[in-house]
Amino acid sequence: MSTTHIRDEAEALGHLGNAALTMMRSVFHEHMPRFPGLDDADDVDDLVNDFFEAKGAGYANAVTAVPDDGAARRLTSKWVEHWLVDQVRKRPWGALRNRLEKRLERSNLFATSALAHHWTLADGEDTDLLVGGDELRAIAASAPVEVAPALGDGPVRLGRTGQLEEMLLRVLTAAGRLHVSDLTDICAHRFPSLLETTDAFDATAEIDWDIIEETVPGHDGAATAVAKRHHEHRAAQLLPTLSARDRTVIRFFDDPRGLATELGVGRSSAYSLIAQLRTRLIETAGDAERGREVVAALIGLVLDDGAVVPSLDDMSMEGSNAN
Amino acid sequence: MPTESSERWFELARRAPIGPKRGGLLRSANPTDDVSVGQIRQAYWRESTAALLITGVDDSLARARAVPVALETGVEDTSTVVVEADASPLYGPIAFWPDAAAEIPFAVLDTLIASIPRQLLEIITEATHHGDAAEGLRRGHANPLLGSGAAMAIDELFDAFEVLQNAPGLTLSAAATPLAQLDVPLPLIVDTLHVPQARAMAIRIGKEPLTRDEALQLAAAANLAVDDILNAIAPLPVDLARELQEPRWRKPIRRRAVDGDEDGARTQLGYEAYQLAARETGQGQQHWRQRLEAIVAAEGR
Repeated sequence: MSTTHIRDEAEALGHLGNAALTMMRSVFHEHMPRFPGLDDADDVDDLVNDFFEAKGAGYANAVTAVPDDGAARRLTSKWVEHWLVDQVRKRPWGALRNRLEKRLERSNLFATSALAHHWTLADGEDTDLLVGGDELRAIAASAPVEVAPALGDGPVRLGRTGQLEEMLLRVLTAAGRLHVSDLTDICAHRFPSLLETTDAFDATAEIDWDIIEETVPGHDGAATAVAKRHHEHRAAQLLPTLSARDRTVIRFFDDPRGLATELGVGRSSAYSLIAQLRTRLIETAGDAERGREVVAALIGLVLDDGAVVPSLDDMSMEGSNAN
Repeated sequence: MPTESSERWFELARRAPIGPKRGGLLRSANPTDDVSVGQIRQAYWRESTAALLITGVDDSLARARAVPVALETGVEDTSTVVVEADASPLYGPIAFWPDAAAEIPFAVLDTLIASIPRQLLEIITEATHHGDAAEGLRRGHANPLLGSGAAMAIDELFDAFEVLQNAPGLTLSAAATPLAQLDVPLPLIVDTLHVPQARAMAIRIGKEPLTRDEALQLAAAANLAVDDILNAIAPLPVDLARELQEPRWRKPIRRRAVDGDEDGARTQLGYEAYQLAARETGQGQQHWRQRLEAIVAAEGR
């Protein structure tokens, strides 16, 4: 028989009580090992309080509206996971924002807007052009920026000479002016690996942006045949780095419904999985155009490779949130 | 002995009261609460759960038009309408996705969390057409980053909403009388199924459901086809089947459900009320409600 201690206690008190506190601490203890990005200094009890302060009455109402203590724990577990993911991401995000601001300051292409924390083009008008976030992200994705993978302990190299500036220039030309947070968002979308947990954080924090200016200019991309071979080569290099789940996403790249069925997840989750992999491949390939070519090459490779795709049963377990 | 952080937690708890700001605690499934427009209810089906805002009700079919809701602060995208804490009926902000409205069966609905006043409701459901219209109301700031906590929460919300839309609801049977009388002597039913005479009688007049196994046993003993046995069981009267879809019966149904089989538990509860009705007069949803109340009250909490 399922118990309802958390709700009973809250209904008697008018707010959450001991049963909820005990459950919340237990959920945090369960999740902490999965978030190595959090310092040892982060005391679980303090994190519980930070979480509760952030989620407030919304959490209190939600956790007492579900049918029993088991459901309350499951709901808490999801909310805690969402919150911890963001706590871990916040750190590299802040570092990315700082570095981005330095980069904007150093270039004579950009100027601070009359609006605090906003940036505009040095020779452009200081005004909002009301363009959607999706459009700006598409513009950023179409600008070529080579990302050199970190070698050993070295920093991530983001963009050859002027490439990042060219991307920001295109974005600000379309937008007029943008808050530095929005620019950081766009960069975070464009370079998702910068926001991956601990390792990427360290690499991002240590990025010496000068290194980017010192790297050699990119190839001119004149010969399509060479480019095509390049994509195939890149795809072949990428293939072994893809997880079994990534391969499944590639197989259903244009079929979110099929992917949802295959992985036993909902359609919204399937869309997100495809979008995440697409963004990662754009980052790796250099821009959206080359990302598409690499995806096309990868689809061919994965389909040819069908026989060695590991059992899908394992994956549907791993990826399921629908059971 | 409470530690410093526990004290702080209790301070936070006191600052985050449950229930609506006005009218005290409006929790759980009060028998008088019908499903109505403007309610925010917790909904669940199996493991999938979401808060929903009711924006329309089809009473005869026991279906509602509903909009997914997030009580989780910071979970929003550009298609969200956010009611800030000041304007919210709860002590916290609420996020709505009015463009995602879809139909769900009453059977997934549970606890009433809050009610949105009609005027605010109209602004929320129209907000996407008229832009920002009221104080304390705003559009979602931006789409969350891929892989962020908010993006995960929105995906989970919409996945759950999809499951809720496809959950089984009211199925109206053609007639409330059995297709055929069960032509099996009473003692045979008692002996075969090891049931008391009262239940055997109910089975004989078709007012008691049988499991597939019981139907098979009885068919073998009486030398009849299984379908003859199953055809003799009356479907529940329409008004009773309809009343059973109300969220007020969710708790007793859930309590009776074996392995989460709410459909089976709902049917079982329905037949108990149906048997009770054999000894009483009166029909219609109101009467069925009273009989169900009597059964639930008799079994205690």
